[in-house]
Amino acid sequence: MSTAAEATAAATADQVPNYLNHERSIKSWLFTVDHKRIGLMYLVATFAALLLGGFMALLVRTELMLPGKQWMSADTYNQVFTLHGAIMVFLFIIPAIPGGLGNFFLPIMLGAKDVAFPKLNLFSFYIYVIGSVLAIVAILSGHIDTGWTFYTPYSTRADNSVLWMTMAVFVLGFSSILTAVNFIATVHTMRAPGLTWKRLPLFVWGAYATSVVQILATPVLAITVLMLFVEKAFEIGIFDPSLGGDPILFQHFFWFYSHPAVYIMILPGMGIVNELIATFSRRAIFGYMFVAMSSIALGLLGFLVWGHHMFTSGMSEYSAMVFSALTMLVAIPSGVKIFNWLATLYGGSISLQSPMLYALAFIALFTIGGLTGLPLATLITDIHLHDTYFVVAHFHYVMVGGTVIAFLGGLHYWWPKMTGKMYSETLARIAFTLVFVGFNTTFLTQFVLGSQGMPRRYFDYQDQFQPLHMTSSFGAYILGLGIVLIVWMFVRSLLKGERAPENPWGSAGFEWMTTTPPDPHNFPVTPVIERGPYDYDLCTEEELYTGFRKDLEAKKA
Amino acid sequence: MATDAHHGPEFLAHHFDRPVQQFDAAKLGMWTFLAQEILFFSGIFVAYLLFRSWYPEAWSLGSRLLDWRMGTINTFVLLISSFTAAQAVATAQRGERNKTTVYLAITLICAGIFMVVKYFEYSHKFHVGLLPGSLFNPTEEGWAEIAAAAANSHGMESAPAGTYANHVRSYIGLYFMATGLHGIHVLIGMGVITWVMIRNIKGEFTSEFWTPVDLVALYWHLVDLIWIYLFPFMYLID
Amino acid sequence: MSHHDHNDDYHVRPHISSTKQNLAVLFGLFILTGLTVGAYRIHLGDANLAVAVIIATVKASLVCYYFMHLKYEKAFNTLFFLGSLLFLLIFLGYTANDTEYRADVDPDWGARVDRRRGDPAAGTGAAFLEGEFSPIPTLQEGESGE
Repeated sequence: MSTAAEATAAATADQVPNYLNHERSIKSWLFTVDHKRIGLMYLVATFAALLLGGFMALLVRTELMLPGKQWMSADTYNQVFTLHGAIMVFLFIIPAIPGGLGNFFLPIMLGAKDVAFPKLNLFSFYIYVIGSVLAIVAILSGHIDTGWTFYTPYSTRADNSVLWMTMAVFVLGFSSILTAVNFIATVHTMRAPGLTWKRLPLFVWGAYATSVVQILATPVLAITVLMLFVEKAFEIGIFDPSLGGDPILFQHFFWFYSHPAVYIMILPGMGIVNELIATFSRRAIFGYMFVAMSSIALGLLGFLVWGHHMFTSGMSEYSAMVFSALTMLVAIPSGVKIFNWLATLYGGSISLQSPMLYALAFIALFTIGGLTGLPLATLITDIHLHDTYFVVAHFHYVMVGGTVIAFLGGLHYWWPKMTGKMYSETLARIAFTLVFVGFNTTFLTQFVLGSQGMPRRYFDYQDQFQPLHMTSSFGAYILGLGIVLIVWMFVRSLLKGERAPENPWGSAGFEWMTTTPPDPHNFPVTPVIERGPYDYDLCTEEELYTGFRKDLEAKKA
Repeated sequence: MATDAHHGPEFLAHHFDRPVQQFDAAKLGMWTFLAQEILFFSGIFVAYLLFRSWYPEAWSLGSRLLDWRMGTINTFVLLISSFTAAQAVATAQRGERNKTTVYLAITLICAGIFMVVKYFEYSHKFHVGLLPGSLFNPTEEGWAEIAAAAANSHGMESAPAGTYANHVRSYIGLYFMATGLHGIHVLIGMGVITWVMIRNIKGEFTSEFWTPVDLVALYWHLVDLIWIYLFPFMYLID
Repeated sequence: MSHHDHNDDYHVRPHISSTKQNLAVLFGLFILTGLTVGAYRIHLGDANLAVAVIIATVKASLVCYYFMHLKYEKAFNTLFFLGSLLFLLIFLGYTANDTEYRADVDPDWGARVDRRRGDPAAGTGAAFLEGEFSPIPTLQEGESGE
């Protein structure tokens, strides 16, 4: 009898308890404190935000194909680009990687059973949901055309839906603060035996640096939008110039958060790229400690440079010079990362599977994004380029070419571990090509547009810009098609994908040591870590090619 | 599910291996949270200091609309509550449950006194119409207070009429924002202290496990810290 | 119970403050509060803010060091908490570096003007300059300032 039962259990792999099948009710999802389920819920929610924000972007690009009014009014246009920015920044880019992939993999990479405060984790997810609902109320209740930056006096003169939007941002801010508190405590206290700081996976280092920045910067956003709320509701005269306030003070307050926020967005993406490059080059990351510390350095330097968003806003020239000089410093840790990745690739045994394609694209696109930051950091060239499409292209190269590409790469890379299913590599490559070509077509042209003087956020433009705008819009459609194909590919994988092996990529990372999909408690027993996550020379063949640490499973029995 | 690999004292959550690990995580989490509280209040303090350097006369006038005696009483009350919070932790660590309850109760009473004094200050401001922004609508009594404050404050007599004084409105706005936010923190603290006190009475804490008492005391000390700065900044401008 | 300042691998062994020490700290805080009110009453003028900040910082240090047990806290917790003050100072210092150099207050005008050009400074609203905005009209009529 018992042998027959064992045979059945072995035959249907779904009988092995994992975090997806050990409880199945809706309630077990909505009230779960399991970081993996919370991570998945974050992924679904943030991906929906990505699709919504992307749809807004396509609306904007469609309107801009030809000069003049095409099919939406200037007023609608202003609202649509505001929503594109606000949704992408606050609902997608900031929470997507830490909240989704970070929540799922950070504890597993640490060999921990969960994050330090599981209930707080669930709470912060629901705060995110409440914030999203408030944002939707804001969208439906009126028209917000301030841009995602809410500059005064635009925002103090817009209608009252701005109040809803600032509340949404306030609430969303606390969601990321609580996640950050959780991550810092988890990294410090929940590491498995033998997992020293020098063995920490670089994705964890990235998420950790992000959390530190979130703790120090996000509360300033919260108080800023709260003060904006009070300014708008009660006219107390802090930011609104007609009441004796100072609108440039608002910009200081806003960018004290929102520049570090750029690092909140990019650092976890860089962390993912480290994992991809190490796995698909089968090599330890070159200069591990330098790469880890450059994340911390980027995070802290990010607090010293916010004024470069305000060079043409009437800030004192003296202050602008200081900010310009400090901004150049950011190039150092960014360069450390790029060169160390290239050094890791050099001599590596590279396999160009779909996640690696995203990692390589990240390096190329982030380099372009970073280098085009230099003319914007330099005062004299910034006067020409400020508030043109050059800026738009620059930050999309960093945010989309950087963060979104890394996010997609990480999603492909960890998909088999999260869902237990493989996806179609062919479709993945086609989708990658569409995304890469579409993205570059959209934004390379915008560099040209900007340097020729096309201002950002304008509804109408001169005829001479029309061919480039048309090209950019076609690029956006291709990019959109690529994203839709990725969604379809993943849905198809869920429905009829092959069962994923424990370690499909042959990675030495700790997250591949456990079963696929992971055990409800991540590891049947707490693993003892005896090597670093990139020590391919210390891994057994079995570990790399046939799967996870069998000894962990054996101990359970 | 959670119990198979788990052994240890009852208070140990399933995802921790050792009590000291759970304690360290909780403490670090609380300290990082307090760090974000400091930066949360930083916006108020930065706006306050910059406006004070721009419009010192208006700030001097605004400060004289407050009663420094009330502020001083509240400072003493909060300091005592901070002391009793520290005592609650020490007694909880020694396992003296009843003393912990008493100290937490005194902390709660002090917080209540603080809010009552605050209520009197606020209700007077409402009564005479010295309210922030668009609600600013002083009664005759309110105007008299402004005139008295102007006569008493530095620089107003030499400044041209109606210029710096306009910024008094900003001062009142910031005063209400700063003390209002602080007051909300006091109210939240009162709620959490009550909850911890009930858990203590139920006997959930021992000399082995008193982390929640420690955490709520840390939070309460931070509320005190903020007030230590707000008091001279708001009430005591020369 | 014996007092240990360190934890072993398993149990939590806290430092426990004595009632005597806590009372002494409270007494010190009372004196400093008296001092800060006293400093206000004797009208220090320009030094008012500096004195207030110094006394408040001494008080805050006492609360942190003894009541919050920062003296016995893990080094990283202390670093993180005190480090947040550094970022507050960056926020204040860099913003002031703009606002203090951007413009001066014109005493006749009551609004900020560009130091070199004499024009209204960036961020000063036209309505405000033209006197359309005056929430305290009676002051303009010279009711006060005797």
